[in-house]
Amino acid sequence: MMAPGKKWRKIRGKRGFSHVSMTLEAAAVMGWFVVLVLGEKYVGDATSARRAAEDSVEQSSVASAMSYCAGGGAGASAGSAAAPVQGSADVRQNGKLSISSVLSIIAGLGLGSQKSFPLYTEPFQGAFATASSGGVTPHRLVGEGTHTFSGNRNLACLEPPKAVSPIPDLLSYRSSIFDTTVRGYGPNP
Amino acid sequence: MRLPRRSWTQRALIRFATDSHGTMSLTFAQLFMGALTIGLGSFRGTEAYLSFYYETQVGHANYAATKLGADHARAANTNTNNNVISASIMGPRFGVEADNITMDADAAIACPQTHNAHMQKICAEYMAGKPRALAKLLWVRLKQQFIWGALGQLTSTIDKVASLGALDQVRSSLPASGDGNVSIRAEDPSTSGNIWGGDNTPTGCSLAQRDALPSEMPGHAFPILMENLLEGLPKALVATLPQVICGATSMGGGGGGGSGASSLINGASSLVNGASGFASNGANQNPIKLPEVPSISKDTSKQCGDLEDQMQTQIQRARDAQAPRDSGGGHGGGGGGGYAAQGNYGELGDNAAGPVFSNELAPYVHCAVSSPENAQKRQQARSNREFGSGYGSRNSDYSYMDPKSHQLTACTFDADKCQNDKLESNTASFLHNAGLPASSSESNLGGATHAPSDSDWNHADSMRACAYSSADVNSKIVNISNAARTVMSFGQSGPSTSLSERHEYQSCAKWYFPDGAESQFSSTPHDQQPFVAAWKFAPVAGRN
Repeated sequence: MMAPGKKWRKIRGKRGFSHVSMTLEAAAVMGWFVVLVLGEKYVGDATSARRAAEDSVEQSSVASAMSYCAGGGAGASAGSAAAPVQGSADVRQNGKLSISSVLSIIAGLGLGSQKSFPLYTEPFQGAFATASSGGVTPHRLVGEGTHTFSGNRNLACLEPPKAVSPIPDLLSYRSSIFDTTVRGYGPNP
Repeated sequence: MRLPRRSWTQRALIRFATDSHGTMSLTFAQLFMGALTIGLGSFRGTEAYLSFYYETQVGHANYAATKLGADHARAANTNTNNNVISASIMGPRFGVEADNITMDADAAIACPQTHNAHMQKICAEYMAGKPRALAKLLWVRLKQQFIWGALGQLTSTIDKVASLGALDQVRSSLPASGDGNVSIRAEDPSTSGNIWGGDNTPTGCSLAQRDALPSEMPGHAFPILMENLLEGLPKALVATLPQVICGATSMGGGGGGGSGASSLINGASSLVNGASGFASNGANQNPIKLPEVPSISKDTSKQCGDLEDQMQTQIQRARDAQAPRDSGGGHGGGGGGGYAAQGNYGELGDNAAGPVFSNELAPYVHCAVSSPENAQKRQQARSNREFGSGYGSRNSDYSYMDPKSHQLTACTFDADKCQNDKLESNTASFLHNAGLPASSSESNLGGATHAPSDSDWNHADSMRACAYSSADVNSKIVNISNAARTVMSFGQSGPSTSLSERHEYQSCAKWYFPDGAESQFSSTPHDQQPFVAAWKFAPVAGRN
């Protein structure tokens, strides 16, 4: 029968995992793999979150623009369970036709109250949608706190038709021109 | 003492732990797995970046395309406003023109009746009110021409302005979104030409006429200045004036003409009925005639009557120059049925000569050797004229002995042709005196109403625009990707070129009139679509 002290000396003399440095190295490699796996999860969650935010923004902006820019469909979709998304869309002025010289010309005709007349004066409108992920929380070994991702989308607005009927509306324009200028109740010679 | 027996897993673990080759195996496994992990991680990161990059570029292109489409649709609707305003001012011009002509016609009736106190009162009212009416007429003409010119010019240029403005807006919004290095360009036909260059003036004038006819304007274009003796004339003129003012060639002839012998009211109603289809009858190029104006009709009848008298006189002279041996012949040739028997004329004298017709008269005289068949044709023509629209029912059949052929020759006066020709020339003279054009070449509207240059506008390539977005891939991503490629291929693969190339992402839109079956504007006629403010835009896959 071997004495106890001799047994431990025999084991200590072996190579492989029995060596302390080898054990530490193996632990470091295993830890590195753990970090990489968690990092992959973090990247995956972040990618999903941002993609959900982008998709939501896209849907919101298109829905808003296509519903006469009245805010219809402005709410963002819920996104995935892993990456919940909140979003909003609003309608903003976006440019204007430069036709002020023509407006001065036709101003003397007594026009302006016709339903389609604002086509000369109204600014353009666009739907600007913003959506962001509700927060992706990676493992604490990778990072602290929550991380959010946001996306923006611009689209031009689809305007509602200004025509009052399928046939040309001359009556409203003509009556104003006739009463104001030809009959003599407005600017005339 | 015997140790307890170990299981096979314990034995395998002890063997691996005490194996002298275990350290080396572990080291190689670490190196391989590490390289693999780095490669996978790098590719995963670049792949995520590139997908976002792609989506962002498509988003920018979508924005630019919808902005272009929306602004062009707005420009189209603005153009419809231009057209409607242009057509709207034409109706009042029709009314003022018609009332001025009616005043002149009234004066032509009233003023010569010097012994009629009521007529003299009307004449005095005319003298007093005409200057005001004339001033209004000149003003409305100038205003119409000015508006047509200005709005027509706007229609021609607004799409180019809208396109450039849209791109400026898109580009200015990019830095705010954090993508300042993105480049946006567009393929837009409006920047290289006028996409609303079509001329639909006939439709504009037709719409103005349809609006004006049932309105209060005809006869009341300005406060009553004098009593009107010709009640239906203003409306009849409004029905005809589009053809006059907008040009005979372009307007077609549905409202033109009329019948000289018809009453004023009947003439007006026929003109109104005819006017409903003149815009679609563009091929008709009838000259303008206004038999409804009494002075024109009266002058026409007088001129044709005088010409027929000239013909009769010339034939009578020819007969007189002949030396009939039979005392019963000659002078009776113009009466009765107009066909004289050859035996009534006998032999021709030495000085016999045929009738001489002036250049003005000659086009309306048709002479032929007399025969029973010809006589029947002449009789038929005469009866047609009696029941038709000619200026009168005069007997216009005359015969004489032709000195060359020695045969009885019968002549007829073409009253219908004379009526048409003189009515046309008298109308032209009347219109010129009134300051109006008498043909399309004389027409001066100051501009035009417009339609898209391509008549099939809902499917035209000229009504579509595409936007292209591009940006450089982030240089760090390119470097990571290249490094990963090198590691994964153990140094065999070089840098990627595809990532460093600049790619364009396309998005397109069209602007169109929604005349689909389910649209509320499906009943809008195609030629009237440029007058209805319902144009919209939609994304499309691309230009044709």
